[in-house]
Amino acid sequence: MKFRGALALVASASLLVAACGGGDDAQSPVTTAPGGATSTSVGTETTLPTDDIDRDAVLRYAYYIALSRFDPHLANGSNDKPWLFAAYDRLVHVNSAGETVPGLAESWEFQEEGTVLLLNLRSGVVFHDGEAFNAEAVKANIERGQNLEGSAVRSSLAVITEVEIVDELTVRLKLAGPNASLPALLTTRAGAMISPAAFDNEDLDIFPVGAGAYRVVEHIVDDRVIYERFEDYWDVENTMLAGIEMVLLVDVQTRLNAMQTGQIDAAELETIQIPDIERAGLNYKVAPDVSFGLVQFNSALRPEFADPRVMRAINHAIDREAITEGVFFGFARPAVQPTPEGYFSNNPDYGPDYYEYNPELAKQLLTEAGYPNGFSFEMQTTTGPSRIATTEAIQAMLGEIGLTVSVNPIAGAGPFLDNVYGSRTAESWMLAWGGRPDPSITLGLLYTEGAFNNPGNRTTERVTELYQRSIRTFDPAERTAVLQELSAAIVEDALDVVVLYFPDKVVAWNDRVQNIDLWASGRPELRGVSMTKD
Amino acid sequence: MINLVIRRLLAVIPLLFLVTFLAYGMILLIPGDPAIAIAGENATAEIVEETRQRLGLNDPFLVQYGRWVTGAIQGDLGTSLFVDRSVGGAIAERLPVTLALTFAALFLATLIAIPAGILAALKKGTWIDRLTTVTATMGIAMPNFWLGLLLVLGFAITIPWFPAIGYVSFTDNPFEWARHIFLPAIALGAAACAEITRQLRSAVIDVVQQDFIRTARAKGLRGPSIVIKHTLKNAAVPVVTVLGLQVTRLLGGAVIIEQVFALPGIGGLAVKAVFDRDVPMILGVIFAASLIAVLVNLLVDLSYGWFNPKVRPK
Repeated sequence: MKFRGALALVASASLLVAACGGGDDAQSPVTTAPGGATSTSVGTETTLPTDDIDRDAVLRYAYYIALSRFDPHLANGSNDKPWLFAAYDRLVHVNSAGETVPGLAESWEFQEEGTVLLLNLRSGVVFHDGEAFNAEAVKANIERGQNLEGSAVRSSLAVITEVEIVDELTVRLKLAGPNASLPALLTTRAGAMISPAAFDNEDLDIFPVGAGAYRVVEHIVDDRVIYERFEDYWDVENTMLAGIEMVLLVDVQTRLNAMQTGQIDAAELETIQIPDIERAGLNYKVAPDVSFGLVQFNSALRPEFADPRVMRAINHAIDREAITEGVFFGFARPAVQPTPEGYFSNNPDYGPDYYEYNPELAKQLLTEAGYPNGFSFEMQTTTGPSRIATTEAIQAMLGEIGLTVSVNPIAGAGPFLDNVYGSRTAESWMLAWGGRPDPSITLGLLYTEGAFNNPGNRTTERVTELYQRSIRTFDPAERTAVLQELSAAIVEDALDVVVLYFPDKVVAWNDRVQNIDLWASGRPELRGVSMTKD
Repeated sequence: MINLVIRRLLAVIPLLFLVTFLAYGMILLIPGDPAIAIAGENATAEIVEETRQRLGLNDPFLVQYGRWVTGAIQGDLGTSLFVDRSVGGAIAERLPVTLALTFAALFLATLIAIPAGILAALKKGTWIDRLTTVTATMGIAMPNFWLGLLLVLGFAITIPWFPAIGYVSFTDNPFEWARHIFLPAIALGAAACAEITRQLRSAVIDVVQQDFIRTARAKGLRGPSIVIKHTLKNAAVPVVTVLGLQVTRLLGGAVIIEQVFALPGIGGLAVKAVFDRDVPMILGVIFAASLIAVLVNLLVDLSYGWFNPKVRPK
């Protein structure tokens, strides 16, 4: 218990440091958190002098979700990013703390009251096929992403109405309206640049042609991708690995086994394996990211949930700490806000105790709302053990205040997502929200009118107004203040999303690996990672 | 004989139709819509609907199935809904791994089961028999993924003789192939080995009590000759039947074992296709698996004639 407490403290401290520190990606502030090295990992974490770095080393990295496809405009899995971004560079980068930093665009600036985003592109950048990266390439890529049949980035790029080439290395993106999230959106697949000469390559889904630090030399679909350093990469001096062998290992025990036998150098594991990771003498780090567990209610189907008193009652009836302790063995942080503590949009005044566990108060609120005897409804979830355990715990907790919940686990993410956001036939559900590159995107999708992930369509004037301000405010400090105010409004107004917890993530590595990190974005990147000589 | 083979092969066609038709129906019974996943994470309702139209997912059941069958008859199993990649190609790439695993498991199982079964039968009632029976029961009761994890712990991590994950093709390096396939094959084949041992034991016990064995013994034939020439050939029919059944069971079990040992076989493909509701891919995998099952059964039937001339077709 003491150990977990210490871990939690250190990890949240690291996130805080990570969020505040600007830092470049190569030496992430997260790993240099005070005390982090001793409590969250064993072994060394200090950055070695360059002499000890083996520039011929190949990192063998295991990831657990298969790449959907290598064409970044068609790839539809949000977990495709680690596979994609080794080969495809993006206009804007994100650092491990979740902040936007220069990528293929050296700088950017909102103009004309936020209706234009001016991008100053990096010079001397070439694609893997030798073609030059320039304003033409940016225009061609954005237009392809917007118009390609089956494009999965079309909605992300919909805000751009025109791409205007100013000169060889400057583009002006004309926007349908101000959108402060756009630079963050350009850190994702929407900002990935394909060589325009390769647009029609028949094997683009197998062999990417980007401008990334690594190019793909071998690709066995749904098994592994072998990357080698692209010697003409614009930041080749800081690209320390000669190559990456990224392997798909779905089963978490298999990943740990492979690390123990030395077949894999680094992988994301699960918190429950920490004792085994320690026994195996591996290094590891624990921290949450922007993904979180939530329960959502469809107030369009069940008008009971449109009453804020009912939603407050549900918030007070759920013992979040019992869930984080009982289901996650302490490796998750109870929360009521949709971004983690320490992250820039998180409002520090609204801790997990804002809705303290209080079944009596919950019952009272239900009575005030006109449901003294409660009511019954169905709660769907996917079949993962922690999801079912969490949903069943909520079922028991809501049972205490007279709400009869029937739990319905749905096999497969596809059918489940269809029920909740597609056909919108589910009354309530528990899911893990994957997080988005910018808080405005998550908040917009879950809490604004007409949004895809808000089937109940419930919002309040205040939330709508603050959301609109969050996408129209371009000064970082001002925008942080607006986002924090928005976070507070969402919690106070008790909309139909009940935030439960932020689960901890674990990355483990062997003694040769340096500077590997957990990314607040939840999508690991291997930029800055190096290996020491054997 | 040739007539029988042709007749049986022709009977495969309606069977495959039936299997894929039922599978198609079952897939459609699962609620959910692949279009949501395909349209991407920030998709709007319109984009999802457009995706559905583009992939023909709004068409009636029979139209969709009809489209698939028309392609399949021409040897085209379709394209994955998710990746621009032919189903036939994906299966051809991964099936060899699964077949290698299945047959390695069957080979190891038979290699152990034949001597164990004969020995247990000939030493019926002794400690050897009891030990074999108990071990066989344990083999059947033990889940194969659990055995797999134990084997990794024992022979990859604690004593590092074998790799914990991965696959090397036989043509690339036969020695490494054997090293990589050994633990998964043991994990997968343990239950089959136990099943075959028990079948063989009871079949041999049955046969050695027959009159012709007594006659053979009375003629003064030696033990090994009786066992190999007279007993085993007669005891083979039930064993071969079980062997045939095991092949389909092992193909199913391979799905899990492939995950434990990270083998790039058809199992991972099937699981992903089912979760994604990638209909053409699911049908392709079912088609391939059914074809293998039918062919193995045909081989089993033909072998009956070889073991027992009385059942040979005239």
